[in-house]
Amino acid sequence: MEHSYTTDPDSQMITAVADGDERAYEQLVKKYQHAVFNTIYRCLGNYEDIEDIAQEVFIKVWHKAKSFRKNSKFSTWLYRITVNQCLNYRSKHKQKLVSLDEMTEKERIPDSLIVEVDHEQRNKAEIVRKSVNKLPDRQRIALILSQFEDKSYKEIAEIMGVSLSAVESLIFRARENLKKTLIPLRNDGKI
Amino acid sequence: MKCSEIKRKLSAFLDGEVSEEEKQIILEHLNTCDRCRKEFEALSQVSEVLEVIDEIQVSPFFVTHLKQRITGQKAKSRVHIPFVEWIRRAAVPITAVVLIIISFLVGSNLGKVLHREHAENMAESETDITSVLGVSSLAEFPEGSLGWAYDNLLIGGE
Repeated sequence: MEHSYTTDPDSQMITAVADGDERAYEQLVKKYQHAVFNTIYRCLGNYEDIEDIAQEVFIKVWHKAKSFRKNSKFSTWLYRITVNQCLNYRSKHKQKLVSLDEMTEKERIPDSLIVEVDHEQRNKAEIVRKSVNKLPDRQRIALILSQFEDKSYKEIAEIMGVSLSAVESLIFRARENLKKTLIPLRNDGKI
Repeated sequence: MKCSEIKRKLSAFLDGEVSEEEKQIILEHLNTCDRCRKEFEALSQVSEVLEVIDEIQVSPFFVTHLKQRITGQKAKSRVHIPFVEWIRRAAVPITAVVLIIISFLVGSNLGKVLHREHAENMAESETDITSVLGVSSLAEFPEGSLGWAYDNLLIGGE
């Protein structure tokens, strides 16, 4: 049985977008652009092409608003598009992502995008980010959605199109894998 | 629950994704099992460490760039109407024009055929037009009179 999310706060806005309301579209973009940017950044582990990928995500929202079925929340649908864009990008640019991983953060992050933090903090973040980036795609995505986007396991299951127990298992395995690399680094005082 | 089962639930427990009953069982187990408690502490540390991952800011021109791209796509789609779409839009007017031309050609040819058949029938009947019109008596009018002139017109004389 399909459920209609009538309590979805974005329901009216996405209906307006489907009718070609550009103002409603702009409001939705402004509301979610930060979440979409950071999900892409954490999923891909680099800054390059983030804006292009985020644009692709929101262009899909504009063009497919009419086909959005209200049996899920708008945000769930948006995260699903974002995750799929990231996976497509990753499979097309595997080589590029590997070489980017070898570069230092300073070499590839545009200064305008950096949130002000001290040098030591940035180095720690870089080490942790590289470890997360080495996780298998599905483990990494499930962990990011739970840890950084505060999504429930149920919502992650909807976004990723997997079962609740699969989400539980993916996040468990992601943490187990990170435990092996991050805990020794923490004990050595590197992070 | 065995240690292996508890261990698999610790991550979900950390995220508050276990039932109330499971929560009680896990809490009781952690109070008595050092190995599972250490495992839980390690997972908690992983979550803590992950929080150092930085955030990025959205480019200040993002919305402007996005709108420009969408407007560009709209303009492009207005200029380049796909062939199939063009055919779909032009189907009704083209069909109407074709039907008018066909009707005109068929009508014109049918008219010619009927006209020819009628002429042949007329020739075959060898009927004098003056007798058909009932004006044969005009020939009897004296030369130079109005009746004579009209009779001459009908039979094609001078």
